[in-house]
Amino acid sequence: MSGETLLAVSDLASGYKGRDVLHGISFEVPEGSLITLIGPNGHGKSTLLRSISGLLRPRAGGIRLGERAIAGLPAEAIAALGVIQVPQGDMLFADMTVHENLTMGAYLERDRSVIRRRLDEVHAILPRLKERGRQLASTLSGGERRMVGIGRGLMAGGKLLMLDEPSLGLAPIVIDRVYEVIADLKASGRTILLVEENPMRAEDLSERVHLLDNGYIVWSGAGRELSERSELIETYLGG
Amino acid sequence: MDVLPYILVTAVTVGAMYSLATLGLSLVWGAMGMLNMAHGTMLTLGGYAAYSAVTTLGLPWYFGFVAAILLGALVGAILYYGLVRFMLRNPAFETNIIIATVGIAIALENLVLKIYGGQPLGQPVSLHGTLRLGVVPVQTQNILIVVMSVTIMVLVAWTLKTSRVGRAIRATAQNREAAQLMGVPIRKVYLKVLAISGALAGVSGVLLSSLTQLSPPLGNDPMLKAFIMCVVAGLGNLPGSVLAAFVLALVEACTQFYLGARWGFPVLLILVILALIWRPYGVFGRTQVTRL
Repeated sequence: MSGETLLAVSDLASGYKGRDVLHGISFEVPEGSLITLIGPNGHGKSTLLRSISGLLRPRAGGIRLGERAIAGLPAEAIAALGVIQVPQGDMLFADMTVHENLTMGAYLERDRSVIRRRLDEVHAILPRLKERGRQLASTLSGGERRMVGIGRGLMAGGKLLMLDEPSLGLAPIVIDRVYEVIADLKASGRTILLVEENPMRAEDLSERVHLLDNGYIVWSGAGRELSERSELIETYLGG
Repeated sequence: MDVLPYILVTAVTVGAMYSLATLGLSLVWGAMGMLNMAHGTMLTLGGYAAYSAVTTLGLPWYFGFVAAILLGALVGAILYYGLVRFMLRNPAFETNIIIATVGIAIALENLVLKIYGGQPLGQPVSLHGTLRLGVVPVQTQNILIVVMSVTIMVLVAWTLKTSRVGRAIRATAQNREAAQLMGVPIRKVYLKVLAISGALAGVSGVLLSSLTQLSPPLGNDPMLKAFIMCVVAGLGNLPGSVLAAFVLALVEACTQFYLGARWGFPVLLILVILALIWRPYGVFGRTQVTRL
């Protein structure tokens, strides 16, 4: 089911204030696949997504979206090319309603009929958001906020959806619901790059998992392989 | 004689002017985290632009407002291209820009002094005559000030609420990175915010100088008041700062009538201190949480 390479990261180095957090990162995301990056907190997962989405300018290395080099472009240009990051901790527009947050996701789309169609699609996947449409984002529960974050990302209609720790800070039953949504998105053919600290939920869904440790990819393999290699989990993720 | 209606007229007029000045300052703070210390000088420039358009170029009085709006927007844009653009990426932007704009303010004020001289000039953009509202005679100029201020505030609110650029400004103000991830070109948003704020300052300058006189330090007092109102309301909170402007103008007017003009400002400051002890983040402000 995986197609041609949509995103290719090669030999990427990136970090903050002249100190690299990521070293020689290379991986690919084929079209229609779900690729997961796992690793402990503070080991560069978010830095990697921020470098791809343009919030952070990579120091060296290449990022290609299809045929196009996107490393170093401003974030809004990368979003316009279809790389959509759903950031960690949701980062909703707190003083806007759920509906306004969702339509902000489609900021780059000027055709109202397209926006309406995407809104219908998002409501079909996340029906709760329709009920909550007029509620301010700041008044939502953690799980609802996460759904708005994902819904807002979907509204952009991008080619690649990057989810940064969608299970962070949620109750297990809510995490189940979030992963049901992610499974639905994958089933509908969307290309997803997922970042997680805990490999348990993502491994069944993922075509490929990359283990990130101290800014290096230390292991790559199929999702199911990871659970068979318990020594990897013990070494890098503390069992 | 019952003075209350007169106090109310003064309070509403002054409140309208304060809120217009505050709106521009608050917009820039809210959207960009930039405390523009040159906002007051942009007011002054607006006042003088109107003066030159009408006195030197001989244009009709309403072109004074057009000139003030254009010059204000231009100065806002120059501020972005010449200064803000280069400082944005610095993590200490919020502190650095205060110092930089203090410098700009001093330079611009002296430029005005150099061009127009230090002697006070009369603002030609002014309506003469009085209207009677019930038993109270009100100067036509006061009515113009209130009508213009309220119209502009409604226009700004409507733009922020419904237009594409308004949504982009609000999104940037609420979460800059999230806005970028949605494809909002935040640099263009900053440019527009500074230009809009400059235009608002320009209009305030014309209205203000029509009640007093044109002089190089014209904008300093309203800048100080606007800053106080922004802080009382909670920095960046637009409806809050407009409300604070009217309430504080009323308090100031009452104090000046009943205790004497020299008590106006001290009483204002005492109220501000009490308000900030009561709510340190501003009366309508929210606790800010920053992830380290």
